[in-house]
Amino acid sequence: MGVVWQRLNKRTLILAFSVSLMLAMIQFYPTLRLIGDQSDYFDSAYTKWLGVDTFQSISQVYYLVLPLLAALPVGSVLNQDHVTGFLTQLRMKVPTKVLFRGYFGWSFLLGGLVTALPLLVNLWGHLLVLPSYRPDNLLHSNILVISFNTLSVGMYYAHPLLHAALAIGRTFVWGGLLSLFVTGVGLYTRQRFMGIGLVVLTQLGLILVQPLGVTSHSFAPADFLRETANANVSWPAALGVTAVFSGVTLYLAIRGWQRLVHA
Amino acid sequence: MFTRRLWRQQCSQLTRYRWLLLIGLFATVISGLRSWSQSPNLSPLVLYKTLFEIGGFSWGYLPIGLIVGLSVISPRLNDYGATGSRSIWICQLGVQSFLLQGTLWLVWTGIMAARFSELVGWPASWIVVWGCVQVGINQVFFVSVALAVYIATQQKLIAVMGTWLGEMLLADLLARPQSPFLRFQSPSTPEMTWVATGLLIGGMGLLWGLMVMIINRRDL
Repeated sequence: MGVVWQRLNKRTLILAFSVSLMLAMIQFYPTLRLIGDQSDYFDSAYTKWLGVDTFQSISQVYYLVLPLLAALPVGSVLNQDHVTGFLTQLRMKVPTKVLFRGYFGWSFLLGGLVTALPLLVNLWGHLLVLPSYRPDNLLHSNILVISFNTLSVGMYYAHPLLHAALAIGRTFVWGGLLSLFVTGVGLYTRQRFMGIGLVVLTQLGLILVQPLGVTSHSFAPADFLRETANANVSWPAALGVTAVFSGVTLYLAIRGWQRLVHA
Repeated sequence: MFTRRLWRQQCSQLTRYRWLLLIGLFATVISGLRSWSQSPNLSPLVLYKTLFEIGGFSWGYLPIGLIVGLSVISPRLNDYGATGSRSIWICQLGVQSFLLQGTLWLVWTGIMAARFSELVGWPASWIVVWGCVQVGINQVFFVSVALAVYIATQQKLIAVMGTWLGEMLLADLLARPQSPFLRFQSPSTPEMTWVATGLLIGGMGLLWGLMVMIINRRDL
């Protein structure tokens, strides 16, 4: 994986981390102003952090631009190297298996980290400045965490840290998958932006479909990646979409790579 | 002769990206249809507000326009040698953007006008069409911003993300009464919005001028 790491454009990587961290910090800023003040809502870190906040538009913005952030560091690198011929040059010196692991491994890892790490920093920041009260369904009824809009709602009230960790874990996996998908699509087209366009348009389509009443539960990652959403969510819908998307992504990546190697 | 070739080339370019365009059009239709779920008992004013809510533009219509628009853009498609002038690349960008954004706008406007006329009646639909014209002006402005960023950085992803993020984060600021942006959320006559419209068109002129300057200064 070292060969691909050396080839990566670190400026793009820093830019992706900076943008995602900046968004997470913008959401954190109003909480900083609460320090020393008496809150009317018995605010807890678990009721204010980015993954559970449905009041500030910035938290919705974060999950909307998540596919773009995930794809920014490595998503289009393989396509670029394929089009410029650099990959052909690399294949003469490095075994193809090592290259496959390098491109797709970094794509998954950095796609996941760019989207999940800022969430971790945001939660950590909230835990530093707010008490970590366990959320209460009466005291914190203002945030409306109920079974319709929250996956494993019982766990949220019983083990909030574990629930938050699960949401961050889901974001990591989906960030990685989205980046892998863009990398995989890049093997079939010369247009670098095609994969990213497809991912963002599909997510927008899935977000917009639910309010039409076509489905009872949201299929959009932007909804089920958060701890609580503004739409109805369920485990079967979330797992189903994850399974289908993982299957399509793996097919695109493996088949595309085989086509490239045997060409 | 050359203009005809340019238009024909750009149309065939669109057919090459038909799958992405179809997904874009599908997303636009869904985005427009969201407003159809509103109750038919709403007053025309409230109905207008729900049709043109800022979230629908920022989180649905604008990103579709930006992504579809920039995906298809291929600035050096046309042969420089055919004209010997760099302005051919700006003409290309203009034609591509006109075809793509125009198609999306027509679909969006059709859905909006159809819904409004169904609930309020045809004679009142011109208000919605004027609202859609204002949406279109904002759409073209933000697409021009994205194109200018793309021409300057050669990075489509940064152009789309920068423009979309900027619009979403500044939406509250941009939609204030003093601002010329996003002035389509309440019914208005052309006389009421001509200053905002003029400023936006002027801004677009500046952006396209900037693009011409960057293209002319860049090494071949």
